[in-house]
Amino acid sequence: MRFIVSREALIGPLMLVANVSERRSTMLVLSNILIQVRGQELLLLATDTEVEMLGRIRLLDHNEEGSITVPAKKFLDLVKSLPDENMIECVLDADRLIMRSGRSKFSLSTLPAEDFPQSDAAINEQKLTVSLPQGEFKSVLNATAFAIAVQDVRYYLNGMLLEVSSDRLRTVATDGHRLSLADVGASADTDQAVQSILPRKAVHELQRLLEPRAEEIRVVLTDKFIRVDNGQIQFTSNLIEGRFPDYHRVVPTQNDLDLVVDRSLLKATLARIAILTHEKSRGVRLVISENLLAVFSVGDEEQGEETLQVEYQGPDIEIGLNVGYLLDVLNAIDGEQVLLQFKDNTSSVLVRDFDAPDRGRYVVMPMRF
Amino acid sequence: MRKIIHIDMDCFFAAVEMRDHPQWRNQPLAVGGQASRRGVIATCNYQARAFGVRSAMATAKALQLCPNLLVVPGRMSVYKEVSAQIRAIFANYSQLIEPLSLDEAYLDVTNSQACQGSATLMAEEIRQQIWQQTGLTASAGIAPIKFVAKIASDLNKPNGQFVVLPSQLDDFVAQLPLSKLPGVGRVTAERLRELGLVSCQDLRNFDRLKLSKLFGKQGQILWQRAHAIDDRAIQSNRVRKSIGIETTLNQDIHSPEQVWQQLLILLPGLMQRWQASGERPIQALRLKLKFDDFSLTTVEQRCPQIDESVLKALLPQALERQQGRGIRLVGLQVSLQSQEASSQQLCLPL
Repeated sequence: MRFIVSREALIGPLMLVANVSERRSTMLVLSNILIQVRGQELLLLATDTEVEMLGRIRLLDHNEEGSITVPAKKFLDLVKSLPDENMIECVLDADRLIMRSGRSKFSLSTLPAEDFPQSDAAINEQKLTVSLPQGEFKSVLNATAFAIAVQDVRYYLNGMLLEVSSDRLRTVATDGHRLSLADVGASADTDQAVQSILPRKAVHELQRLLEPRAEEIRVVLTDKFIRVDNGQIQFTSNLIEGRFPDYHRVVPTQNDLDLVVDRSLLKATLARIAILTHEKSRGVRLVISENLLAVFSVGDEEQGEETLQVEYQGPDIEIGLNVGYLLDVLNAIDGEQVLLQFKDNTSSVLVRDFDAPDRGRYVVMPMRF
Repeated sequence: MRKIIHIDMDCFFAAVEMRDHPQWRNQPLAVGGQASRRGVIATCNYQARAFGVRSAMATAKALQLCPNLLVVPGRMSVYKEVSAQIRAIFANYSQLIEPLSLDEAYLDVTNSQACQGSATLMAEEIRQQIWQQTGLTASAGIAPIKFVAKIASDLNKPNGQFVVLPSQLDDFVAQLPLSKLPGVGRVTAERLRELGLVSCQDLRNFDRLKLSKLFGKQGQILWQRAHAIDDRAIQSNRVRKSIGIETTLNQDIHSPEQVWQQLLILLPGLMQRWQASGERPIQALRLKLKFDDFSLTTVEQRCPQIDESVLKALLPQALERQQGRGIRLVGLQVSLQSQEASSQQLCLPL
């Protein structure tokens, strides 16, 4: 096997692909990346057996076909450390991959390509295909991913719900305390809503892979897999089996006490008050009266308080909330102003972008002190 | 140096039964569950102990050892009454009382004026008053630190006491077998023995760093105890860390459905106990199973409320460890948040 490639062409796909490989796996070969020369194409493949990322790079002439695996992290770090304009030549010599570039020469250990687990993603039995602008897909993932549960025994919460209907893609994530939901226009060949649960790691890899561009991208879903291909990178992941809870039940519909506030002002206030909250429970108390929002830290000894001008007409409200959850929501919203909708002192709060209230919905359960 | 008294009633439940039923006095007697319902022994009298009967032993096993054993059911309300009586006596000697259970407590009498400040005399008086007011005997250990007081109360049992003076403390602890230290059970004792460590003196000669590497935080505590260091203060308002409910089944069960059914039976009880204890914020929900070989397993999930869906998800995790064994006990617990973080995050009704 032999190939020559410019560092510039290699680095982008390699960074995406190598990130998938497992640093501390019980299977040694999983910390490697598969390199394959096929015709005029260089293929890079990494997998953790759940998420698989395949990169394709167009090669110039004078290549020799073949395939081998090398340690992903070392290969990536070497390529990263070379000057951008360099050409890189790789040759397989017995069980070593010899890598030359400029005045450098490296010899990397290898493991046979046959040992590398290839996914058997039987994508033929397609369930459905969704098309939407790449940047839009990225933004709905970004808007909801933060609420995915971490190592919950309710394994179906450790992932993001993708709900596809004929003209819409909806993403939903919840850890049982808060929930995020976002919608984006998409076209799909289905009459009814289809649900899939995307594992946490797959969501993070997709967030890295997708670019804020307007061109359409195709998402293929089967019962067991999701595949996204942007031409250069093909991403495949297992789906989480199981049923996502009925999220409709927890998105409030009767929160009609509206509070509108400048997003960055509220964010800055909460960030200051958060410093003196209890480090585990992170509680703040919001005391709301006509056009005024007062935020108090709920700590042990130290106290913080701050008041903000807001738009609010309605009865006084006093509610306890986790400041971390609120800040997560404010970071996920783009607009200048946010709309907080309350029902009373003890019911969940609904937060939305004031200028695009139907794009994302965020539900946060209160705290009791 | 502090003055700590550890008071321990002598075979408490059994002693109460013998007091109230004089006809049972001269025979092996135990309070506990019936063998036919797979009960266990709670307490037994000295006649029974002579046959090898012990607390927490399965009643069936106890009856094998001692066929004449009379096993009677407990009368918890009576024991609680007696317990309140003895606590009232303690209160005359100190405000710093740490009850460990109905029949056992630590008293810090460092600043008590009674008996010219003599802890030894106070212990005598307390035991005397318990006898006069309840007709029951107690034993006491007197020492400058907690765990030594507890060990000492066992040395002249029943109806006796043992004093470890500050000047004797170091030597007393040095000769103690490590298995007597709190937190050293069968398994830890065996591991220590493999390292050639049997007495506290052995441990004193052992490398502290190595101990820490082998036993972690427990190693540091062992090292301190072996050096007669025990700074734990008397906690007069001991805070509960968890609330639980469990049931030993009449017959082993095997299937997930059967376990789930038992859990659903326990669930309202757990809720009730949690509510009765003041609804302190919950940190985690825990599921406990005991298999037919008596090994225990627990699985837990952080969550702020008693949530059936969490429980449902925990069950398969616990059953992964079943490996074909029958299940003899099913239990549920909530661990409670520490007092400082006494706020509660509410859950979405998913």
